[in-house]
Order: sequence, then C-alpha cells, then structure tokens
Amino acid sequence: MSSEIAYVIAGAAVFVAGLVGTMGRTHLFWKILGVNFMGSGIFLILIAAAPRLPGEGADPVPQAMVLTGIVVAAASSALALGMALRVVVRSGGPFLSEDAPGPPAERTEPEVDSPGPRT
Amino acid sequence: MTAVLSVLLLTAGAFFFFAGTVGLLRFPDFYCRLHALTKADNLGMGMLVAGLILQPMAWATRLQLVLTWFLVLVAAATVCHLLARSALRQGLEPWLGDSGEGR
Amino acid sequence: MSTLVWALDVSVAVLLVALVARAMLTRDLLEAVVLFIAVGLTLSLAWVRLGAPDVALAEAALGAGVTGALFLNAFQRLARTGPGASDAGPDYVIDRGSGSGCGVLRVATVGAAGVLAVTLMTILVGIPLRDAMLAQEVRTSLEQTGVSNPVTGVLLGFRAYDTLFEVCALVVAMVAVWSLDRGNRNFARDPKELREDPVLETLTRLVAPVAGVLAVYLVWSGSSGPGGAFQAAALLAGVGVLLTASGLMRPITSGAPAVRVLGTMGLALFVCVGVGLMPWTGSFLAYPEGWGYAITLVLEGVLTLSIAVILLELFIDVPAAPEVDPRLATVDPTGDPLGRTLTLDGALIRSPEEDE
Repeated sequence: MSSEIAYVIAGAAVFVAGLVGTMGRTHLFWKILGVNFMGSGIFLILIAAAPRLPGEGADPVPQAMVLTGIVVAAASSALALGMALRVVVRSGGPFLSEDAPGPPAERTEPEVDSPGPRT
Repeated sequence: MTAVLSVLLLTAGAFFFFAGTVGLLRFPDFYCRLHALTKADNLGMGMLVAGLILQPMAWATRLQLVLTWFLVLVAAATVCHLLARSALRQGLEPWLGDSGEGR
Repeated sequence: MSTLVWALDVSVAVLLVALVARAMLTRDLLEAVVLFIAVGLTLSLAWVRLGAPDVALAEAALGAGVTGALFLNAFQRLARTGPGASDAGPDYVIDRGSGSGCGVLRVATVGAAGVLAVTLMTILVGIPLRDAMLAQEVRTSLEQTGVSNPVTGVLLGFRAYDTLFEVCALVVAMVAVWSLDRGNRNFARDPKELREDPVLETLTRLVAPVAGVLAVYLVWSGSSGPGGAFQAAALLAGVGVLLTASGLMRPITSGAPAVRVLGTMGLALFVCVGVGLMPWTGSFLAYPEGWGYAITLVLEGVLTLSIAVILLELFIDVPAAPEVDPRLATVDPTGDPLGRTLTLDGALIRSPEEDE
C-alpha cells in the first residue's frame, strides 16, 4: 500500500504543477503542455488510488479509462498545437491577445535566466 | 554460477548507463554528449539484456529480449547519425580540444 | 527487500514531480518538450510499478512517442515561423515572459498552489479503502466478453460505448487538423529527393516489416495479455512517419480516398456493429452469447488500421511553417481581444501610426 501512496501524492503534485503552469505561463505551447501534465497527474491518481484485489494488478476499469484518456489527450494536443500555430499567424505571437507582451516599443526584454542555453 | 554472471552483466549495464548520464551532463560539446548517450544505449542495453537472459525464463522471452536489444541498437544508431548530421549541417562546429588542431 | 522496492517507487515518484516542475518552469521550449517526453517514459515506468502493463505500453507509445513527436513537429514549425534570432524580432521558442507579473501576485499564486496541493494530497491519502468492487465484478463477469485480458474486456466489452466515443474524438481531431489552414500545405519536396539518407532508409526498411508483425502480435495478444489496438496503432503510425520521412512512401494526405475510407472505417464499423446487433440482443453494443471474442478481434483489427491512419494524418497533413505578416511586428496585439487589427482576408485595418 505504501508504494501506491507515493504515486498518489506525486499525481496530485503533477496535477497542481500542470494547473499553475497552464494558468500562469502566457506562451500557448506551455499551456498545452500544462494541460497534458494535468491529465497525467489525474491518471496517476485514478490508477494508484483504486483499491485492488489481493495478488492482482491494478483495477482494470480505471486502466481502461486512462487508456482512453491517453489516446484522446494525444489527439487533442495535435489539434491544440495546430490552432496555436494559427494564433501565431493571426496575431503575431504564440500568445492570447490579453497576454501578449504589449506594443513593441514598450516591450522590456528581461534577462533570459534560463538554466543554460541549448547548444 | 549463471546467477553471478547475470548480476555482473546487469551491474556492468547499469554502470554504462550511469557513465552515459554523467557524460550527458559533463561533456563539453554536443557531439561528445551524443557519443556518450549512444554508447550507453548500445553497449549498456546489450549488457542489460545479456544479464537478463541468464535469469530463469522461457526461451521465447529470451528471444523477445534479444529482438528488443536489436531494435534499440538500430534505432539508437540511426538517431545518433541523424542528430549529428543535422547539427553539422546547421553549422555546429565540433569542439576540437585544447590543442585546437584537427582530429 | 521491500524497502528497496519502496525506495524505487519513491524515487520514480520524486523524479516525476521534478521533471514536471522543471518543464513548467523553464523558458526554453525545446527543453520543455524534451522533458515532456522524459515524463512520459518515467510515467510508463510508474505504470509498470503500479501493475498496469497495458497503460504502460500506451503511455510509452502514445503519451511519450506520439504526443512528444507531435510537440516536436509543432516546435519545428514554430521555430521556422518567427524571424531568426539575428533580427530584433521575437523568437517564439524562448519564452521571455511578459515581464510584468508583480511579485506579490506570483507569491500568492505559488502559495495558493501549495495549499491546493496539500489539501488534495491529504484528501486522497485519507480516502477510506473500500473493497475492490469494480475489479471483483469485472473478474466475475469477464467470460461474458469472450476475452481473458480484463482491460480489453472493459475497453471493448463492458465500456465499449466509451471506446466508441474515443474513436469519434479521434476522427473529429483528424478532420479538424485537415481543415486548419488548408491552403498552406507544402509537400513540394519530391519524395525522391528525400531518399538521400541511406541510414534512415536502411532503418526504415529493417524496422517496417518487424513493426508490422509486432502490430499484429499486439492486437492478437491483447485479448489474453497486455496489448491492444491503440498500442498497435501507435506503432503503425510511427512506422508510417518513418516511411514518409525517409522518402520511401509518398505523403498520404486527405485527398487520397483510401485515407478517408481507412480513417473513418473504424468508427463506421463500430457503429454498425452496435446497431446491427440490436435485433439479436436488444441493446446497443451488446454482444450475443459466444460471439464476444470474434467481434472483439475484428473490431480491434479494423480499429488498429483506422487509428493508425488517423495518427499518421495528424503528423503529415498539417500546415507548413506559417508565414507571419511582417506588418504585425509594428502592431500592438493587445489593442483588441477580438482582433480588429486584421480582417479575415489579411488586410490591416488599423496600425498605431494611424492613431497619431
């Protein structure tokens, strides 16, 4: 039982991380990533928290639901990414218009403090 | 006897993967890191599979494991080639070491 | 020994959270996408540890493989869209942030997230453990479905209705992606040109037949062990992408009637089976006695082909790297959430200079 608790807690943490990221990041691709992570967190909770018969694997009903969820998440991510690219064409950046960085003259360019550029 | 050999091979495989990860984090250049990862993929995976085969299991499962290793080998080698070629075409210069001379 | 196993589970769980946090915090989109794939593979390991091998297969194939590849595909199109880093223009793949979130709001958000996380965890860990009612019911009724893998039994037997709508969602997604930016399909490169890499071509020639056999095996063994239609479909879609990228196969697009037929065949068959069995069994998607295994196998086979074509189309028949109107560089996109800056045919209505 104790090992499933670790996964339930991890699932909750992943869900919250995805939720905060979806709401907080303005870049559309990160929103899509966040929604995917929210889904993964919920899948973890569904399967890890389900009661199981002694000596058998996980409960098959949540397994089937998670399988369905993974497939639908893949398809909807494809559509969401396509639409995000259309937003780039229509409004000049991968942002919703209320999140966009503002007129070019006033845009500040804060230091890119990401941990290391990609080489 | 086979159990000892199996454990040795599994440990060697794990060591190769560990070395590959250290290489990924510490090597100075894209191409060096690619080399470390592919080495870990091929050789480390081969040792893991060899160690697993020596465990008691059905012969069909052993063949499946060897097939898995073969597929990983082919895929990793191709991916390494594609990544290196793509980087070279985009102009990423290899790090030539302190001497600065050619290889 | 069980302490080691418990330590393994805790390590995997911690690794998951760390990877997700890093992916959501980084500013480099490529790093985030690669971490997403890593999360998918780690999650696959977690599924194995939780005793869900079918889900592990699906997560590795679809969650990490297909979704990760879709993200990389979109990333590549995004990176080619914006002006290069040498211009002063925006670079779409590094998120510089709006620069404006005030510190108090950020602290409040993190605090609220922490409270939510702790509340969720407390509730979830404190749920009283009931008897495994559903698992027990599935076990007792499993032979009615004709298969011996309980997950397949649930997926195509007890909850076939859900699977029907899942395939429906897939078909809708495919059609929607087809209809995006229809005029911007760029298949100009002659497939013969793409056959310039012998290594990729050799890999594809080696792997494609093996993958075909593996897909059939996955569908076949899905009725008695881990496997199933979706995993096999992801495998076939991956091989299809390899074939197209290496130039061995012309990109099959929505124009080919075979694609339309194959893509919708699975859904059509599912609905026909559901409706056609009603005279015998009296309800939608109820299988008659003894026919469960045959119907499941036929459905799974056709679904595999259909879903493979759908997933392949999500990769292939997508708009090329879109061209952003250069006039947009001088326009303030926050002016109007309804987008008054451009009409539907691209004419610029208003630019900041007109206001002065």
